[in-house]
Amino acid sequence: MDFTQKLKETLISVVPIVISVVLLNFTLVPLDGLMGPFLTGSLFLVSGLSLFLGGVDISMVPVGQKLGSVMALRKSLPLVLFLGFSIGFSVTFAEPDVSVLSARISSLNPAIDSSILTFMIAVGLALCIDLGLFRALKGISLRAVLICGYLVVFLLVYLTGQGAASMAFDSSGATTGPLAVPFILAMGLGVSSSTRGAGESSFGLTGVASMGPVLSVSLMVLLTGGSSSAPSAVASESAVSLGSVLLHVLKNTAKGFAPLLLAILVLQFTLLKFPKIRFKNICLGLIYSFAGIVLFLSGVEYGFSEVGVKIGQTLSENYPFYVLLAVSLIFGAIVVLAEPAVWVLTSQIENVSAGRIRKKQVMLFLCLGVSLAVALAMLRIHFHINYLYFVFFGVALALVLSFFCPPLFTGIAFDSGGVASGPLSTSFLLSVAIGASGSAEMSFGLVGLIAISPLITLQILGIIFDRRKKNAAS
Amino acid sequence: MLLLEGSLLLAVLGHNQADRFSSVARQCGATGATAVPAKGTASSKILRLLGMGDKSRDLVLVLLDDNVNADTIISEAKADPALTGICALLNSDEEKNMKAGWKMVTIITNTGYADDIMHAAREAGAEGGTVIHARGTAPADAEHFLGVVVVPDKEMVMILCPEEKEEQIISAVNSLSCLKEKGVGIMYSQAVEKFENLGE
Repeated sequence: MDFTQKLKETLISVVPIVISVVLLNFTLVPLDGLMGPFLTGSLFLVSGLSLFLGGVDISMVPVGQKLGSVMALRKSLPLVLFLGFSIGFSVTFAEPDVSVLSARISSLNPAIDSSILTFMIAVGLALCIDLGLFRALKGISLRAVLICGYLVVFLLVYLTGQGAASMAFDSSGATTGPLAVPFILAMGLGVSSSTRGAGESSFGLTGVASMGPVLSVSLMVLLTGGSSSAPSAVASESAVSLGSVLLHVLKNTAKGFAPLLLAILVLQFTLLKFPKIRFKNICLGLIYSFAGIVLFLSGVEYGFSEVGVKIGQTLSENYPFYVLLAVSLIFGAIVVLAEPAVWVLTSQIENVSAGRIRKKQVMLFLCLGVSLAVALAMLRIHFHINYLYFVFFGVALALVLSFFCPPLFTGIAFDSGGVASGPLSTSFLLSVAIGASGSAEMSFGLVGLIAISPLITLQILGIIFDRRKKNAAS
Repeated sequence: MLLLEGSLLLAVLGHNQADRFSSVARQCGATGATAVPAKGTASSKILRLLGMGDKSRDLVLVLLDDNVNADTIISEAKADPALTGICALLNSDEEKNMKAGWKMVTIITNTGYADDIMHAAREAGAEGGTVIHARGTAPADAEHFLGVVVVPDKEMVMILCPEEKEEQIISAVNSLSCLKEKGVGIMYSQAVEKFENLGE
């Protein structure tokens, strides 16, 4: 773990957000009293993110990779499926974001029981992790799995309508928490590097896993009758103290972290058996990543959410629509840089490709994608466009592109869909959208769009990469 | 396939410095270079104790024939302020290697042991080491699972040390209790013709 390097990387990723919010403050949107919390929050963001990334490097990544490798070496399919299911289920079931999402959905549609929905989401994700592991082991083409999965999704979503569709796609972004994603990514990497060498099937596990919640949420809505999407009031939290935010986040994160920690400890003494010094480093890494993510999330909650709502509100009320559109394009591009899991994914890509695919390139195309997604979401809010169009065209285009794109990049692209829609976009960007639309209901779907757009842009990067390589060879 | 009789120049550099080093080597007449992502360990004891010792490194391998002077590459690289790390030269002529008094100890094990190996090596006097993530290759009769060949993930640790510390390091690593199991890994050492620090 190289703390200074992490600090440098995080500063680069957080500074653009701070600069643009400060600029807005002096030009279009005076933030008055919100500026102090925002700057404090940014400090928390930088320190938390670097601590988290450093910790993940020496804990989640080596443990996940070794677990994947050991699972393959044990050569027992039931063991693989059992471990995949139990880890997937426990981390999702305990994830605070999932219970928040379930509660929100069931408040819109009383026919759905929120605890049953949480259970269904966890089962959906766990089954899809099994599917993804099985695929990685067998070497079944990722494209085939994704096409089959999304055909079912399309059918379900078509039957349930746009209210359910936006919820379903949002849930796939919310379910995979920032602590679980690096672990799942590393597990996929470990399985594939032990069976077919680092390469084509190294990525894709997170992508397949994110289909799970989409499937289960839309199935749930379908079974309980169509969604009666009554607009709910925007939850407006009055100014809270930093201390209470920290405490609240600490409690929630601990709840989500506990099962993962337990799983890692049990695995250490049964399957993994890391030697003394490495195990000490892993424990330290777990502490760092936990402390880091608590700082990060507190910073976001304390300083960013309200600023987002304020920006969205002011821009949509006082200025022509194109101003809001321009600001969302910029925010979309820079916010993804500060998503914790994005940095984990891009460094894994750099490692797997032995430095051939650079962090910067992947980041650039992720920025493009998310920027586009946020702008589209604003267009949708402004013109009341049917959400189903976005989902159908977006995912269909992504699936078509997978025929022209090298399989490695298809895996990367579908993984980054789940990765790009992290805590910062679900709170800050969503707040901007809520502020702009005035209702929580219309802003549903933004997170889903953020999860879909990288599927397209990163596969385009893959196609360009392939062209370049061929040109260089000939 | 290019077959060269000569020497192997090995450089462990800071993150993303591989391309720069390769172009220096090419300017001095080398035909090409191979870059491998690696991890280095810091020398600060406090950082290591906190588990913050690892840094990303680029490992670069350059094959040189007799027409290329390794010394010019090394001195050019030393003159470049953007390059930091170490440089070692392995000659195919063993006698030349013996004179310099440096050794390279390499340990290849299943993943998970590198931290403990480095810890033991340091206690025995090693300054630092470089870790590469690798995988085993499958023999013809390898084990199959779901129709796929299964090979273990590996970690490769490379330690450059003065000749007189070689024995101690080897025996320290060898006496690690976690490496007692049969088939857990291999270790070898070789002489190095030249060893230089780059930058700082």
